[in-house]
Amino acid sequence: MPKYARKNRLGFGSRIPRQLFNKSGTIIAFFACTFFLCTFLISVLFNTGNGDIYGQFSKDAVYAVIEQDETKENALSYSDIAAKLSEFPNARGAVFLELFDISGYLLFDNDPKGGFSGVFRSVNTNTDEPQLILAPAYEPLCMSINGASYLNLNGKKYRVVGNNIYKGMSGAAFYGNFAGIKDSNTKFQGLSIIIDAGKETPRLLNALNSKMSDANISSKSLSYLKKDTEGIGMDKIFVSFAVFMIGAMLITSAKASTENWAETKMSEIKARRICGANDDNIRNFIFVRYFAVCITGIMLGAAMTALSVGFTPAVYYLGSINIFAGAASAAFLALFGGISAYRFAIKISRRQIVMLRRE
Amino acid sequence: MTEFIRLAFCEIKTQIKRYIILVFEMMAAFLVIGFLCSMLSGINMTNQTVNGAGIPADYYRAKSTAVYTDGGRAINGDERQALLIEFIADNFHTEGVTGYTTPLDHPILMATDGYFDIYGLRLEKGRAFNKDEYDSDNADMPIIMGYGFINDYDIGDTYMDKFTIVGFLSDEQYIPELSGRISKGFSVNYNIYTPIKSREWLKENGVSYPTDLIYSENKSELDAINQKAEELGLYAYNFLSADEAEQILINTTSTLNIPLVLITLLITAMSLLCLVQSMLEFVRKNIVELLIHMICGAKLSNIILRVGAGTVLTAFISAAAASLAFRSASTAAVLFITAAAVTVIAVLPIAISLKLKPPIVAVKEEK
Repeated sequence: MPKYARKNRLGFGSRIPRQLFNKSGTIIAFFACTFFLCTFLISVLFNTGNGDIYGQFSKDAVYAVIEQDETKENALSYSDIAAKLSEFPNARGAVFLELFDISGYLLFDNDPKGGFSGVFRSVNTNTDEPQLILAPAYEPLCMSINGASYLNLNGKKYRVVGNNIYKGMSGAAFYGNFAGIKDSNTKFQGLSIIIDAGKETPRLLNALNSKMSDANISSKSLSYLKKDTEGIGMDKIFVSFAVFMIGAMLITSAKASTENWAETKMSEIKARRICGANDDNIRNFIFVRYFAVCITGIMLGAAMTALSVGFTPAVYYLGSINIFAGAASAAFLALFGGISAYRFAIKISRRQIVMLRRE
Repeated sequence: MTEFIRLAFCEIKTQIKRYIILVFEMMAAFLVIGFLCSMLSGINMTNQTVNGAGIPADYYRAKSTAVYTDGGRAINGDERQALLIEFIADNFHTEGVTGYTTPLDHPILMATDGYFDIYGLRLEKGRAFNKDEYDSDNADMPIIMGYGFINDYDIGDTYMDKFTIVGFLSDEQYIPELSGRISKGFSVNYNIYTPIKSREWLKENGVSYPTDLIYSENKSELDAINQKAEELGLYAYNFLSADEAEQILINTTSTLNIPLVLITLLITAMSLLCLVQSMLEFVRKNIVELLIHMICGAKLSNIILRVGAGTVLTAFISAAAASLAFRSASTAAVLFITAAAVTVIAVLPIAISLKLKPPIVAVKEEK
């Protein structure tokens, strides 16, 4: 078969872009916009769902309160606690820090890969630079130095790496890393700490207990606390309903756009039939073009999203943006559209030229 | 109007399935918007209860960053603290009061020159301090008393054999605490003020210079104080102006759920996308019919009306249904305005596409 014939059969001739994208602007725009909007919608929903520190830990996690007479010579400092925690390679947790009018958590994670998700991923727990994410309400407390925003906590300067817009149950103002206190020799009077070392949590607690001869340590399961504060808010019901409806709408829109798009190709199909295209050629023609158009739309959406995510304030204000969320949504919709395209292709390919001419 | 409604119903009847889905989807978006409105009305109420402290925006208060449960031991006053205060006094303009140590129930506070103006303290009677009474080391010390003393003393009386009463403050005046959580502040009814003495006098008598409010045109300049504090082994501070404190108070008391705002915006954008896409597809599908309308004398505006009729009705039915759920006139108004805006935005691409490519051209291209 001559080279040009094979090209024509699949519709990839010299006029590829014009032929391929003729009357496909709407469907391309639909997939691009869906990719873009779904990325942000799903990321914001995911970050909202994971916006609470309690939800970051396993069912073995405990909330411990350590009390001691800080004036005693053998009283523990923050660095002592940090040293003990570092002995457990899978230990994760958060120290509660309360200043006069602001409180929050300092996160630690001995696993170099990091186990925090959602908005907490913005805080690097494996760096020596003190950094935190701050609730927007407290932004006026910060000081801008050389273009970066800083907040002082417990005498240490923390760089603000993100704006935590997601209100968790704990209602904390900030979530920082451990870098600010792990070397601190300040002896504390009271310390509240979430400890999660999985199955090794009791052993870690025992190790802390043995180090603190004069301190009093009490703990309770974190899941017990979670139960106390959990509940389904009206906003969650509304959002779930809205998301369900938008999902249904997107699926129907994808189906309708695909069918409409395929119908715009009717005159081209007729022309191909007249020129001798068989059923397979027609099916391939619709199917290949549909996926080419889909992929173009998805790629356009991916580029738009990547540009937006690369634009620092988007991540700073929204937390982690998962571009795969958009990709998965668009692919899911493309699949639905693909089913419609397939059905349409089967229907059309069986029609003979006389019937097509009548339409 | 009748024609419009007839058109809209005719349009909906032909594509009933599409419009049912559209109504539900728009309703979902409007419910989220309505929920947002309810929260925003709460914020407005909060705004009304917060009163501005009246302190200029370029005056900052240094706030301790010590852990509360540690009792702030690390920054308790010591020699290093005194050195830091000296540094602040040398390098920044400050306002405030400092305690004049006398064994009294109501200690006398030495106020700086601008203290009364900055806090907006008014006199009930008597006079304010003269300029030459500040920074002077005269043995004769004038005082202004709080309203709580007004029945016990009078102007010209001598207090503790040493201080001459020159005025009384009005009742119900407060010094606001520049903190996110405390808004009311402290009453001055039982305060007694005298003009501040010279720096030398303060040093000799072991009285620290007042640094309640530190003036700075640029907040980042205050980092010099933190650098000095670190150098002295003290904890660094956060600095807060009255405006910032008020902003924190508003922010922390508001019930605004930012993620919900974002989700609402994204859902509305998606509804709009589906609406526009669905209308564009409708125009494309019915282009021949629209052309016949135009041949028969319909104007472009009639065509737009024909295409947009279903959308208008869909948007307004959804808004009305969602409004019923909230039973609030303001929420209903917002929903109807949103419905109108959604309709306009949805119809706009159609109008542009029809303007750019009239139906006759589109049909020719199709053929």
